[in-house]
Amino acid sequence: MRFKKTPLKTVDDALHNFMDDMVNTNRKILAGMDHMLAMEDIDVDTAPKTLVFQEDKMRVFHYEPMVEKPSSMPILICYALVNRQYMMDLQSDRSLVRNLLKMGLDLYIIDWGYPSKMDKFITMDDYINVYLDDAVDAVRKRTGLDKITLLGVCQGGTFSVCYTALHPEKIQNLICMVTPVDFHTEDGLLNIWAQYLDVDNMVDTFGVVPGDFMNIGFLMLKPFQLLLDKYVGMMENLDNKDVVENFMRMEKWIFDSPAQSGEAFRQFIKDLYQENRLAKGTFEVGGKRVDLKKITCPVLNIFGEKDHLVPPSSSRPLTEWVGSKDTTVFSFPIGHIGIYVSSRSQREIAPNLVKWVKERSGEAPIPKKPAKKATTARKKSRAASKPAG
Amino acid sequence: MAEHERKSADSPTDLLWSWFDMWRQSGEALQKMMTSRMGQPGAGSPGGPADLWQHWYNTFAEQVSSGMHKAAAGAKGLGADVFERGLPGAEMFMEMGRVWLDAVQAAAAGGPQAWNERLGAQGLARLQNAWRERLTEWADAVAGMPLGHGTMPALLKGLMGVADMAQLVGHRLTVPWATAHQELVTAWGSAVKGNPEAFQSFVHRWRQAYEESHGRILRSPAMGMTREYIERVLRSFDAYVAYLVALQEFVGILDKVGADAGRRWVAHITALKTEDGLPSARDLYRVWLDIFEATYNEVFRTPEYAKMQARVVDAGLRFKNRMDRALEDIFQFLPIPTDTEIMELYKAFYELRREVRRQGAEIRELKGKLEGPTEKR
Repeated sequence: MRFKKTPLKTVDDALHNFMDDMVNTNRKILAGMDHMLAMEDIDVDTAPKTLVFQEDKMRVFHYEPMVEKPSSMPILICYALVNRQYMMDLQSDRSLVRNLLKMGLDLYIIDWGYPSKMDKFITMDDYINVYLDDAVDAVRKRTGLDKITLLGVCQGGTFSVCYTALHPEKIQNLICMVTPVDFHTEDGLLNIWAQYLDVDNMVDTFGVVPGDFMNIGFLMLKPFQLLLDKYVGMMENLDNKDVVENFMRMEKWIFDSPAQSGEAFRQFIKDLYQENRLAKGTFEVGGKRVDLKKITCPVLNIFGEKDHLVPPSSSRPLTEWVGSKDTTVFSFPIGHIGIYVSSRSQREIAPNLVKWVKERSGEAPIPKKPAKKATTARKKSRAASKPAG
Repeated sequence: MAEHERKSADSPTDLLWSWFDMWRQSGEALQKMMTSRMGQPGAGSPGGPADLWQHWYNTFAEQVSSGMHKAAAGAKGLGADVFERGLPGAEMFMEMGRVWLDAVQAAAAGGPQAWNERLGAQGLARLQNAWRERLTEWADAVAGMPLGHGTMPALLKGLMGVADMAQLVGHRLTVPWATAHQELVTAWGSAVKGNPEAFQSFVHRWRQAYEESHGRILRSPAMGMTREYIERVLRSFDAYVAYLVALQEFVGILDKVGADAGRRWVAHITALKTEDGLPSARDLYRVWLDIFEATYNEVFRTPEYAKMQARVVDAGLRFKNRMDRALEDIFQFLPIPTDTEIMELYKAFYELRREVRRQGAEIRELKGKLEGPTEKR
């Protein structure tokens, strides 16, 4: 192995280097302590918004437009039940939400809240056919439109896919970000581990599955990076106030983990992770089969090629399984979190997403050929598709 | 000695003092032997703990015999003759303990095979028979006639049958451990020297022995008015042991992977070329991190690991579940609702809410039909 940094030729060099490192590290620690002591609060989720609908613990917010004449096509963001929706607006200078607003979109977002013990019995049927449906209706009513655009993120993407298949008459466009649809992939550790979980025992014991319990599982995916190196890296940047603040925002988000309603969690793990029913076309919500072929609206599928939580092989098949003739795939060489906060996300994902929506809202012409970008592809290959029902 | 004999003949108090003297001298003998043998070799070897025990037992037996003689010298009146006849019996009674002592000592000195032969199922049965032989000899001595092989077995036939059954039940608890003992000792000895596979073997073998012995007690049905509660508590404890064992097995896997990763890291470092110069501590850390993350990731992807991880989670949850139920039993006498009762209430709330929603939708639909087309379902 050859190290890229300047190799040390002698033991004397090594000692000097060690002393320098030690002194610098101590300086950084003290500077970092100074920053932390001066830090009043960790500001996240700062884009201005108004509560427009509430049902039990679910709340729907409308973001204040940031352009004079926003798009006439409202977008409802459906985030995952795991972790909080403010990942989309974690940091004001790296906020996907702010970028989309600045580019003229009209955004709504669902905040699922924090389930408590009394929410143990909430099922996927409740989440999809009651809460999500009522949120969609609230936006439709508010905008006076029959159909809106649904943007599902991660697990929220899977919910959105199911919802669109069950209620196609209410959805104009479906956008999925890092959304798992094929759960029987061996690329993701979660997919492998979930196969052996006794989810009945888990739900019967916990009632609602604690967020911290879930977090232990997520940390185990990359234990050295997430439990050690992340903090070592932070130490090296302790003297940089901005880096410290950004780190603390991310830290807050990572461990701000709502519990999971037991019955919904049971079905999600059993039917999807263990039996892969969505892919097989046998998944049922509220007694109705989720037939992906019933999704005929335009579909945009965005995922990260380095995503370790929802591997590309889990997201990619979506556009091939739906019944739509207008499908687009954007993939980027970034990870699960990078989709929201990376500079690449701000530079490429937001503009492409806005363009895609506007083209399908009659606010910009739909190009005959897909926009040519190294990281962008548009395809519709039914030949290679897996049967979805 | 004469003073003691005279005193012991005087009063029951003196006899009691004589008895205490016997125990004191026995304790002193033990203390003397221990201090003189500190730093001597280990179990099974001459001068080791088993040998020490042998010496102490001899001293103790001598003291018992001496004490009994003193007591007998002062015995008068009805039953004195029986008491006198019992004196040699007392010595024999002490001798009965030697059956076990000799067996353990020989097993400890003889290695794994001797251990299994002497303290395995058949070995224990042989010991029990030898001990019973001595018991009958003792009975003969006490009775002053050959009771042990004639009248005694007839009188104690039922009792002996019970003893046999007790022996069988006892075997359920002792045999699995006696059989596993040497493997456990060997595996543990290797594990503490840093062999992670040996640690896994140790935990695995321990679990087997537990499942076959004490685990059976904890899983056996209880009786009586508090049957359900006792069963719940025992099951909780069994689940706790199962969880601890699963956790140790899981840690064993992680430990083994860590050892593999460590070896890879060392191999990587030693393969560095001299002309590349000395790596900095940061470089070494980076290589360490990458190798460890990658090595663990390889194992994390295997079904064996996934199964083991699921087993730990499952065992932990099962323990929590059983403990929760047992705690509910404890608190049911307090004027507070239990978790189960609250969950029933939550379920009723949930079902009520669904019903209200369903009826609301129906009302809206009917209203819509009456008023014409509606914008909402």
